This record gives sequence, structure tokens and C-alpha cells, in this order.
Amino acid sequence: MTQLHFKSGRLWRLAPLAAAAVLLGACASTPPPMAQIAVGKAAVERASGSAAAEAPVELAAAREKMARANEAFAAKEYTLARQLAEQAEADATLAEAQSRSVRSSRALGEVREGVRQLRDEMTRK
Amino acid sequence: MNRTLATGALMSSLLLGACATAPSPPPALVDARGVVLGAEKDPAVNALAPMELKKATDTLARANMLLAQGEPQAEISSAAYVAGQQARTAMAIAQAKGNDTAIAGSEADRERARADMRTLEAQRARSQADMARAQTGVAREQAAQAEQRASGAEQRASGAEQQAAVALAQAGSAQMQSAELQQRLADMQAQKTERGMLVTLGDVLFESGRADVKPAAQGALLKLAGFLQQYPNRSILIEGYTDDVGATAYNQGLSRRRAEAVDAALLGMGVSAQRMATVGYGEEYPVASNTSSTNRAMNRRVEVIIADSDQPVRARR
Repeated sequence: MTQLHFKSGRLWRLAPLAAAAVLLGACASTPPPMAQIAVGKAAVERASGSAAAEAPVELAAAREKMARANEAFAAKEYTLARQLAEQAEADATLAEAQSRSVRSSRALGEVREGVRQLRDEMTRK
Repeated sequence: MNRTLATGALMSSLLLGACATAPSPPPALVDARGVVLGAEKDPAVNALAPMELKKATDTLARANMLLAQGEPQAEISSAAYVAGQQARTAMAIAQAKGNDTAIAGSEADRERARADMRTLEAQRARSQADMARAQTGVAREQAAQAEQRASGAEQRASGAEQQAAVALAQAGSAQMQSAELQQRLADMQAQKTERGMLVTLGDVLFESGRADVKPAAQGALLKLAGFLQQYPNRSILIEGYTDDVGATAYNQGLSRRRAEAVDAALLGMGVSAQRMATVGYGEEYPVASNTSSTNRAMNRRVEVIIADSDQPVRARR
């Protein structure tokens, strides 16, 4: 019951949002996506510190999109700027996760190799 | 409750009504749906990256809604792209966390392997030590045995040496004794006969017809006594002889008395009476024919026979 109520509540709240979207579309004036730009920038910066070596493709995509987002923002193309900033954030977060995955895979390989060598050494002795 | 349901239904009908036909999804949304579905189906992602997965499904839901709302393709595609990247992020996070767990397990494995290794090394060291100790023990035993053998051999050698020395000394002393004996007998002009050593005391010992030893003959008798005392085990036989001058019976008595006189003289010089025996042969057994005075002097004599062994001297037959 609560679940259903919650879902219904969300749907209920979507109504004015949809209305707003319609209205905004009508107005054709979009507010500058300050938050999205800031979040995207922070994500790219964070990923730059950790993911440069292990996820260079994703990181490059994130940087490129963030640069384009800034350009769009400067050009007051706020919708495009928001979309690019959101994508840049997703790319940067993925880059970070992939970097973490690659590093842990490598560490696992090293540990397993160490164990294997130890066992080898034992059986050889 | 009824009101919310009614509102939802109204909203849906309004939206559906706005766009008469269901819009076809852009390729980016199709891709994103596939990626998110893949992530949702992965139990590891559900277990290890539930928050990241929820972001992806939420964003995909938003993209689907944007599509349903007939929003611009660029907006839908952007949201779809973000959803896909978030799903990939969830998978990467799940992968990383899975690796972390596996690393922890492998590190435990490694520690176990190291512990096993140390145990093995300790066992090996112990067995080597045992072996070395055993070898040392064997070597020590062998050394002790060798030492024993050596000392035994040494003892035997020294015993043999001692015996050899004793034998040599005995041999030496026997040789010396025998040499001394021979020298002494030679001094007295002794002769070796089958009955023993024969020393002839000539007639110079006695005045003619008398049985007392002349004082001048004391030296010769002392020499004989000294010799006899050196060999206390040898028995002696003193035999008296005469020439053919005079009656045979008289000569017989005279020869016996002369032998007894020598016996008495030797007794006086410390020679045991038990060793000595006397006999008189008178005119018998002459050493030369009684045809000349020289020959007759040779026949007047006392012979002392010293036994070669402990046995008494055999008498003449």
C-alpha cells in the first residue's frame, strides 16, 4: 500500500513538472544549468586525478564534452550545455570506475601470481 | 487513493492524447535499454553496486518518460547515453568490488601458502638437523670404535714390544750367562764331554801319596767353587784317579780320598754337599799310558764333572 502510494505520489508530482516543461517549451527560455556544469566539472577533475592512466578514452570523452558544455554555456545554449555537462559527468564517473576496476584486476593478478609462485616454490623444493 | 489513481490515469490519457502515436525510441535509448538490462541481470552488479545500478535504472526511466512525453530526440538520447554510462559504471564498480573480495581471498591464500612454506622449511630444517645429528652420532661412534681399535692395537703392540724386550733381555742374559759359563770353564781348561763339562785338576793339587790339597792349589779350587756357586742347580761328580805305581787297592783308596779332599775343600768354600758326589777309580781310566813320568803325572788327577742339566752326573760304566 505504501509503495503504491509512494509511486502514485511521484506520478502526482510529475504533473506540475510536465506542465512546467510544456510551459518552458512555450516560453523557449531555459535557465542556465549552473548546478549541472559544476557537478560535471567536479567529476571530470576528480577523474583526471585517478583515471588518467587506466581509462584514458573515457576521460578524454568526458573532458571533451565538458569543454563543449562550457562553450555551449558561454553561448547561452543552456539545454545543450546541460546535456553535455550531464554526459561529461557520466563519462567521468565511468572513467573513474573503470580505472578502479582495472587497478583491482591488476592487483588481483599480482596477488594470484604471488600465490602461484609460492606454491611453485614449495612443490619445487 | 482513488484520487491519485484517477489523476494518473488522467495524466496518461492526456499525454497519450497529446501524441496520437507512440514515438519510436532513438538508437541511443535502444542501446541504453540493452546495457541497463544487462546490468540488472547481473547478480554481481545487484549485490555489489546497487546504488550505481539504481542511478542507471532511474535515468533510463527518465529517458523512457521523455520519449513518452515526446521530448526532443537530443534530450532523450542524452538521458539514454547517461543511463548507459551509469550502467557501465555500475558494472565496473561491481567488477572492482569483486576483485577486491578476490584479492582479500588471494591474500589469505598467500598467507596460507607462506605459512605452509614456513612449516615446510621448518620441517626440512628439522629433518636436516636430525640427519646431521644422526651423522654426527655415527661419526662419533665410528671415531670411538676406531679409537678403541687403535688403543687395542697400541696395547697389543706395546705388550708385544714388552714381551719382545723381555725376550730380548732374557736372550741377552742367557747369552751372557752362557758366554760367562763358557769363559769360566775355559779358564779352568774345561772340556765338553757327553756327561757334562769336565774340569781336570792335575796332580799338582796333591803331594805324592798324600790326599791333602796343596795350599798352592787353593786358587784353582776357589775358581771352581765360584763357578759352581754361579750355577747352583748343577750337580757335580768328583772323581779321583791315580797312576799304576803302588798297590791297586791302595791306589783305589787314595783316589777316593783325594776326591773327598776336593769335596771337603769345595764344601768349605760354600758349595752345597747335596750337589756333590765323590768316587775313586784308582788306576782305572788312565788318560795316558803309565810308561813315562809325564804320562803318570797326567794320570794322577781329580776330575770334576759338572752336569749340563739339573740331572745328577752319570757315573762311569
